[in-house]
Formats: sequence, C-alpha cells, structure tokens
Amino acid sequence: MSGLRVGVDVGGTFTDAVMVDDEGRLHIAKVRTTSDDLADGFLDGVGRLAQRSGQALSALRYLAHGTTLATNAIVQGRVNRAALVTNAGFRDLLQIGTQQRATLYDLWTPQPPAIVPRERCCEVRGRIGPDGVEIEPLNEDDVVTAAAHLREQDVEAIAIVLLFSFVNPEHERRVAEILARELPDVPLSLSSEVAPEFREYLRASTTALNAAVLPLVGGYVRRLSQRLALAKIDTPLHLMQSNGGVATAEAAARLPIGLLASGPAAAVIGAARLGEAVGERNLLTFDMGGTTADVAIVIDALPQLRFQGDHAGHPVNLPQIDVLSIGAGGGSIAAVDAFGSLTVGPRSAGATPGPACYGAGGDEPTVTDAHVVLGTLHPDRALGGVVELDADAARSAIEEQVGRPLGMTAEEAAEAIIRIATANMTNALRVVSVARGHDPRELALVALGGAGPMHACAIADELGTPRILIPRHPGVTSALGLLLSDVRYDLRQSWVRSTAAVDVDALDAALRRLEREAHALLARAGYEAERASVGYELDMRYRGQAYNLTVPLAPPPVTAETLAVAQVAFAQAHRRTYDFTPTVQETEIVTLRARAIGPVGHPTLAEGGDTPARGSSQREPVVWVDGERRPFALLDRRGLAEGDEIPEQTIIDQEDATILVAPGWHGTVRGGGVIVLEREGA
Amino acid sequence: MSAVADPVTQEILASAFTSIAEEMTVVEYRSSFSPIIREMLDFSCGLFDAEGRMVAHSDTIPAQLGLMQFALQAALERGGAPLAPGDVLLTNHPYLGGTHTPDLQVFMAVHHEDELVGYAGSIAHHIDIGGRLPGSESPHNTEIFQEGLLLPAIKLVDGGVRNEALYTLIAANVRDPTSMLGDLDAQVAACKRGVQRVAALCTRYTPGTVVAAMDELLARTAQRAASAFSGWPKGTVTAEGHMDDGGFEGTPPVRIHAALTARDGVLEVDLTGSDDQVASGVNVPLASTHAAVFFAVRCFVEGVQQNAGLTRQVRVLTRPGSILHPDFPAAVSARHLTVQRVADVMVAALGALLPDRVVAASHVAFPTFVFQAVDPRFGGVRIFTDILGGGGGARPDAPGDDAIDTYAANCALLPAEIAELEYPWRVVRSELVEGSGGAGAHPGGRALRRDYMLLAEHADGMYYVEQLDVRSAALGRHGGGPGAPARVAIHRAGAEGEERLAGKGHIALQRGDVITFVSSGGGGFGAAAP
Repeated sequence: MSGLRVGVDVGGTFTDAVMVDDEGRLHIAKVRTTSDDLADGFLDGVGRLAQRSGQALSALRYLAHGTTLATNAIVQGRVNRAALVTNAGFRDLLQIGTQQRATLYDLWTPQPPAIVPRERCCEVRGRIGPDGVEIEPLNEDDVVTAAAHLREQDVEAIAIVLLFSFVNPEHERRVAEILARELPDVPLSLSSEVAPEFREYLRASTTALNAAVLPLVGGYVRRLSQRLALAKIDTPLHLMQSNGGVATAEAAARLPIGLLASGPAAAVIGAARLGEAVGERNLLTFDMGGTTADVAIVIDALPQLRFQGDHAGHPVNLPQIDVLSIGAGGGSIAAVDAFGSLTVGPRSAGATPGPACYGAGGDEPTVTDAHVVLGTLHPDRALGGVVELDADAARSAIEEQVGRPLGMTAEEAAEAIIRIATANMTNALRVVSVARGHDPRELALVALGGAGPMHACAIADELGTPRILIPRHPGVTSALGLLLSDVRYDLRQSWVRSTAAVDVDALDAALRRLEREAHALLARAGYEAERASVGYELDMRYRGQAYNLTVPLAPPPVTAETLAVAQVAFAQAHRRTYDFTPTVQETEIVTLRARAIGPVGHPTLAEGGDTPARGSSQREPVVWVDGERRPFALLDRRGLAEGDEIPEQTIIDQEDATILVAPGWHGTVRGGGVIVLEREGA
Repeated sequence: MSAVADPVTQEILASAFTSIAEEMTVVEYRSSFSPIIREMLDFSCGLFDAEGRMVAHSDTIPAQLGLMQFALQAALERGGAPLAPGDVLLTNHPYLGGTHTPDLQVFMAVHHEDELVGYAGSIAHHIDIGGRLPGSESPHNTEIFQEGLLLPAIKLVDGGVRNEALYTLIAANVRDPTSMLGDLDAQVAACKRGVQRVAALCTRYTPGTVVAAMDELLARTAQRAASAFSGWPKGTVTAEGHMDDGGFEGTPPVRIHAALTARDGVLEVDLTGSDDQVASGVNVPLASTHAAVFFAVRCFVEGVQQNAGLTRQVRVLTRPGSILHPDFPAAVSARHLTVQRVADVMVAALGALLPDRVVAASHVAFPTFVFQAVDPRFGGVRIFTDILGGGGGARPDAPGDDAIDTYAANCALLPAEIAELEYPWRVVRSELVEGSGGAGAHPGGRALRRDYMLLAEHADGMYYVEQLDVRSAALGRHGGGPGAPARVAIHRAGAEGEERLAGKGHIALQRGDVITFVSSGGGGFGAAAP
C-alpha cells in the first residue's frame, strides 16, 4: 500500500503524531495532549505534520490511532455508571472477587472498590450447567424487574454475566434482547462475547470493565470521526489494541477494553518490525519514559501474548501483548531511609514538578538528575529540546539527599542511583525472558523511550545480551508502531476436553465456527478472505492443571495428525517453561483460539524527513563511568548516515533521546536509521 | 567467605532474593494440579541462608511462611549435614517445624562449586496425605496418627536420583496420588528454579558476596525491627480471646492469651497464659504458633520482610503441654482455626500497645470442608474443598473489607464454574450477608455465604467453622459493634427447611442435599450514629 500514512498516539502528557510519506520518509510532531477534548490535540498533531511535510491531508491513505482514554478512565475511576445482571445468588460476584487481600500485611488500607457498586447489580433466575444444558429456565420477569431498577439508577451501560455462558450463551442473549427492548439507549456487554472462558469472576470483571468504558470510548470515537470528516480526512480510522493489532473504529468501540494497554503494545510492535528490518527476530524491548519502564519479549518477530492482565486492581481476561510495567523512569525518585537503604522509584516526580534539574519546583533527586551529575545529560544539550537543565540543582539534590546519608560523593551517589534503576529494569526483563524460558544471551535488546538508550549498555551487560538496537526515533516508537501494525482480531472459545477423547469432527466444527466469525470480522474491516489470514492455536494443559500453555494448531481440517503435532508442541513448551514433565501425562485442550489478520501493508522507512534542529555548544563531554571520569565523543544524530561506525565512549544526541555508548561497546548505523551496538569481542 | 557487598549491590541482591521467591511461586501455581494450590493458592515459597534462616519470601500465606525455617533447621539437624547438590528434602512433620500433615515442605540446597550458599523451599497444602478421612484433616482427630503420612525430613531425591521407594510409598497411602504427585513435581520445579536463580547470582556477584548480602539483609531487618520495638511504649499489655470450644461441641472454650513487652529492641510475646492442649485437632504445633505471631508483628513494623532478621527480635514464650505448644502425639490438623485466633489476639494486643494503630477484629471463622464423592461423569472419586473469607475489621477512617481471607491466610475462593466443571457439586449461591458487619461509624466488613448442592449419589467428609458463638465474634473497637457469628446448616433433599449443624464435624450427604456455610462479619470501628 502506498500513499501517506499517519499514526497518532495520544498519551497522558504528549500527543505524538508520525507520518510516513510516499518515499518512506518519517515526519514527527509532538504536541501537548488536550485533555478537555482529545480530538483537538489529535488534529493539531496531524495538521502540523501536513504543514511540515507539505502534504495535503486529503492525500491520507491510512490513519491509525492509539489512546489511553479507557486506561486513564479506569485508573482514575472516571468510568461510566455501569450495571451488572447475573444469576440469582451471585449478585456480589464483583464485590467478593477472589476474596484475597491485595496487601498481605496492611490491615489499614481498604480493598479497591468494585467497578460496579452493589446497588447496580441485579439477579435473574435461570441457570445453565457446565455441559451447556439448561438446569432452570430463564425467568424473563426478573429481567424486566432488573431493567426497571436499572432505569431508576440511571445506568449508562450494562454487563450481562451468567454462569456457563461460554458453553451456552442462550440465556445471556435473551437477557440482552429484553434489556435492549426495555432500555433501548443503554449499551450492553455480554460475557459470552467479551471473554468466553471459564472462571466467573474473571469473566465478570472483564465484562464489567468493558461496559464501564463503552459509552465513553464510543462517544469519543464518534466525535473524532466527525472531526476527521470536517477536516476532509475520509480514510477509515483504525484504533490500536493491546493485542498488537489495530481494529476498525467501529469494532474497537464495541470492545473498548481491548484498547487498555494499546500504547505499550504499539511500541513493542514497532520494535519488532524495526528488529525484523535489521535481521533481528528475537528481542527484549524496554521502553523507559518519565514514570515507568515497559518491558516485553519478541520471539521469531512475534511479540509474546498473555491472556490475563490487571488494570487498577481489576483482572482482565483478554489476549494482550505481555508487557510488564514497572515504576522506573527518568522521573523516578531516589531516597535513602533512616537505615541507609537506597531506593529508586516507584515514586516519580512525573512531568510536574519533574526532576530537580528541571527547575520547576522539584527538589527530590531523580534518575534524570543522576544522569546530569554523571555527565550523560549536559545543560548545553537541552532535554527533548524544550527543557533547560539546571545542573546545580541536580547536584545539590543528589549530594544532600543521597550522597550525604550514604557517605558518598555526588558522582558516587549518582552512579548508585543508576545502578539501582538498572537493576530494577533488569529484574523486570528477567521476568519476561528467563522466567518464561528464554535466554537473554540469545536476544537483542531494543532501547526505547527518551531515557532507554542511556541505560541500554548497562542493562545488556547485566543480562549478557550481545546486541542493542536503537531505532531512529526511540521516543515515538508507539506512534510509529501504529503504522506497522496489521488489523487483528483475536477470538477464543472455552472448549475443555481430554485430548485422548477428542472427537476430531467436533473440534473441526468448533474451529470452523471461529474461522467464520474471524472472516466476518475481517470482511467488515474491508478484508475479503483472499487478502486476510487466520491462524489457530490451542491452549493445552496436563489434566489437573489450570494454567495453560498455548501452541499452534494447523488450520482446519483438524485431523488426528494435526492434533498430535500440537500435543508434541505442548509437551516441549511445558518442559521449556517449567523444566519438568509431570508424572501425570494426560493432556487436555482448554481453549480454541483464532487470530484474524488483515495485512495493512507496511512502509519501508528511509532516511530523511523532517527532524527539528537542536543546538549544542558542548564540545567534549566527560562522563563518570565505573568510578572515574572518562572523555566521551559527542555525535549529532542528524549527521549519521547508514554505514557509519560509532566508537565506544560516545554520546549521540538527538531531539528525542540521548544515546550512551558505554566503554566496551561500539556501533553501526543500519537501514532505516537503526543503530546497532555490539559488545567488543562479541 | 568474608566478602562484603557494597551498599548498592546489597540493595540489588536484596530485591533479587524477593524476585526469585516470587518467580518460584509463579512456576509452582501455574504447573500445579489441584485447585487448592492452583486456584486457591494455598502454598508459599522462600529462600534461606546456609543455616536455614529465612532470607526472602513471596507474599503468599504467612501461616506457612513463618515456620519454614523451623522445618528446614530441624531437617538439617536430623540429617546431620547440609543437603548435597541434587538432593530434594521432603518433610511434613508438625512436630518438626511443620503446620499440619497435608502441608508438604520441599527444600533444595544452592551450591556454587561445592560451596553451600543457601536453600530454596516450597510449602504447599496437598489435597490429601492419607489418614482416616479424605483431606487428612479433622477437628475431631485425637492423635496425629489419624492425620495421614508423617514424613520426618526424608530425601525425595538423593543426588539427582529419585527415591522411587518413597514415591511408591506415598502413592500407596494417599487418596488422589495423581494430583498429589503432580503437585509435588510442581514444588520441586519451583525449588529448582530458585536454586538456578541463586546460583546465577553467585556467578554474577561471587558466592561470598551473595552470602554476605543474605547476612546483611537479615542484620538490617533486625536493626529496623529493634529500632521499631525500642520506640514502642514501655510496660506489658495483654489481650485474650476464646475459641468456640475445644474442638468438640460442648467442651469448654479454649482461651488464647498474649502478654506483650517491648524492651531493649526485642518484643517478648508471652503466650504461656493460654489454655492446656485439648484432645482434638485444634492444637497448634510450636512452629505454627510462631508463624501466627510473626505475621501479626510484621503488620506493625514498617519496611521489613517477615524474614529471620525480624523473627530474631521476637521472643515467643510458650508452655509445653498447652494448646500452642502441644506434646506429641496430639492431633493438630485443624490448627489453622487456632492460628487465626492467635493472630487476632496478637493484633488486639499490638493495638493496645500502639493505640493510634488500632483496628477492629477481622473474622476468624474460616469455614472450610473436604468432601469426597464419586463423580458420575468421570467415574473416579473426587476430593472437593473450598475456603470462605469473611468480614474484615473496620479502621479508624474506613469500613472493613467484605469477604476477605484474613490474617495469616490469603487463600482465594474456588470459582463456582471450576466447582461444577471438575466436581459433582453446584454452587447454588455465593453472596455477601446483609447486616453481618459490626455496627459502627465505620462498619465491619460483611460475611460470605456459600451454598453447595451435591450432584453425586453420596458424599462424606469433614468440615469446620469457628466463631459460631456470639462470645467469640470479631470485636469492634472504640464503640463499634461485633461482627455477626458464623453458621453451618444443611437442607436435606426433599426436607422442609434447613437443619443447623455444629461448627465442626463429620457428615454424610445424599444427592440434592444443600450444605450452607456462612462466615462471620468483621468488627465495627467507632460508635454508630444513633
């Protein structure tokens, strides 16, 4: 697909817009997020891109959008007034949760409130059994009574969650019909559609969260579409999802919970595609911003998924890229307690007041301040081109609050802060790699975010990772990832059977149902069968286990052979993940999965494009490394071209990031402007 | 080995130890075979130094965490030598640092080039370890020999070679050997993961540094604890509470009594005023008593782990022959009821000592059961269990939590869909009990009610619930009212109305019977508005 493409990533503070033009050149615009109406910032960013590139917006051929709207609403508790309709006897499903305390030793902090309060939870009589057979018919009068109550409660969306609806959704569908008749303006979420898998609380939490952001996200998508139409942008809007694919705006608005972790997911997709372009298919990615670091793993160019996550204490059962987020960013605060223990994060100075060196009222030392003291960041080389750095403020904050209590010089204290921050990120990277059965020495590390490329060498040294990839624009990888993602829908169906006793025809029929559903979704997004692809997977476990491993399954027709291949793959995966083969060897199929992909066609990136200039008066940086001052070379990123070599002890400056090439590392500029660093002798 | 970790390496290694314990727990529950571990998470993992002292743990079940070091140390003493590479030690003996017989503990040693660095350990509640009743537990047991296999620190694997005779012996003596051995595999897998991770730290930082960091972590924790205790008010405070009875209905309530004195950086916990041991299963083995105390103390000391650094600053005094220090072979399998009461009395005593941290009492009813039945769908015997949370205690500024597992436990509720998919049971209702939280300016948390209907022809087993008696209810504070008491009842198929049951007992059910468990509410805080 050729033509102008634009990706817009709306974050909490900044809206990043990127454009790839016909020649593959990248243009970037960063504007403030407009929280009153996110569409303002969106259009502002797109407008600036048009201006800079000299292209008309009517020439736009593809538009993808990532938003934290749903995430922020849930974290801040600003969700819609949702309701729950469930089986008689289970009204308190969401209040009871798992009955576990979030904090083991804290008797004083209340549990987080449920997403739907008790007074908006209603019961209806009727019950389906575990085999899908009706045990008790649905009492339709109860549904009408519930509707009347919920009308009085002014609810804005309703989650319908009935036991065993993942086997037989008939009762849920009938409840939906009646509610749609009684409350025609209230959108509904059915658990059999949102999360058709067993474990009722998990399914209820997922469905209730979806309901609680349905009106909000739906309204936003409608408003944005109208504004785009007014701006004469008529290419369909795509929204990024946490599974690493985009959905049409219409599909996304029906399943807004799929948007929850879309920003981090887009960054991982961006990293995966950039890695592929330089021949690296197995990656560890870390994206370090102001407050958090997001880490993930990519195997054979595919970001790894997980099927359950947690958002503000609410479990969510939905396929999502396995991104682990920890409180380690440039703004993470370093503190020494009364017993001489140094901690870094998770408390953050955020963007305001920000690190002490921002001079905006922050007086606690942060990771960024440590970089200023060490010389990685220099006042002459303003951060992000917008913030003036106050080196004295950084030094005195670190000296007084970390150095003095620990009996260290400012430089030693700053180095200690960086070591702790590095260790925190390294621990997280071990969780997504080593703990999942992957050896980091066989992976390349991708450094993203404004702060990532300053820490990459130290992290790679800790993990034994031999290579580091740094994209041309590490700070806008999420926005770029939007342009590198395909349309993707993940479908699943709980289908619990012993593998030995599987009726192959029944499995084939179930898989073909998913296939039809997948193609129907793709068709609505404009992808006919010949332009789309559907892949299949099985969740499997040894009988008695509950946590599955997901393995590929050949497309239908299902045969004894394709099933046997999946079974072998499962045994291998179990061995790799847990390092043992259990005494019990009987396996079960748990869930059928289909992955529907509509290829968007990805641009090939070229050098050039528009990058804002940034002045630098500093000649020879001196950076404190491993307990001593060392002279570093300084390079301007704009002056580097494909094939250029980068020696060790170099700082590379660019508009959105600072790259530290530590002693023992050297690099080359590769295609698309990706810098590849390698350890000496590796 | 006298290496010293610099302060930064110290912090890095200390957090690595916790990460490792957490990674072990993930390996364990994800690869386990029984709902009690994989759904209800009744298990824990920890790392220990070369002397068997706990260094780091996952935040799982305090009632288990606090005693693992006693089990490991007892095992090492009995073995007379440290474990060799490739050895896996198995123990469950309540009188050798155990909880009750179904909690199996597994330990492996970490070596770096023949040098012993420490141990990785896992403790998990198995669904059955033999004995007179399914689940191996009963408050009505009278001696420990009724509670299944006793495994007094035996090598399950010896230098990498499986002790097949032991596996065969275990398999022959338990009711569900398939799940049980699968869960044991998962425990060993978790320990192996811990061993690998600590060994990797040794390669990265040298074993001397790792050992020094363990020592230093314990020393720093002890220093923090000592500093906290030194700041606490002088003098002795006391608190007491009562169990409903002595394990059998109609027997006198058992008194738990604690006297707390903080002096010279040590907290002395004198439990000698507690009643004598009883001829039932609610006695608490000594290590388990310590675990309950450690949990409560940890709640009141900021910024420490519940490791051996904390516990070395706590002196627990018990009286041999008492319910908290019973003489072998007293039965102990239902000790958790008493453990929770000890935690409750400790939280009350600590609140008396530190008035600005006082909270109302949480429920300790802990309804649980183990029933076996033949599932008509699968043919085999299925052993079914669940654990109900109840009301949390209210705080000075907030109500108590609804339906939580409290104090030294933190088990999850079994999903109703798992119950029906895997067992011949139907959860008929699962709801909060209106009005069960203690009245108050901030009311106590609400109790949980669950009704289970039997779908098989016949089932039998045991159950236990505490706090049926209003006199043992979760107390309010500062004028707040007590939580409502717990309740057990059965509605026989075809009968009119339900029949109240004693709090603890053995029972047989027929198809269509519905058994109801209701936990108790939490205490309120402050007088309710009139």
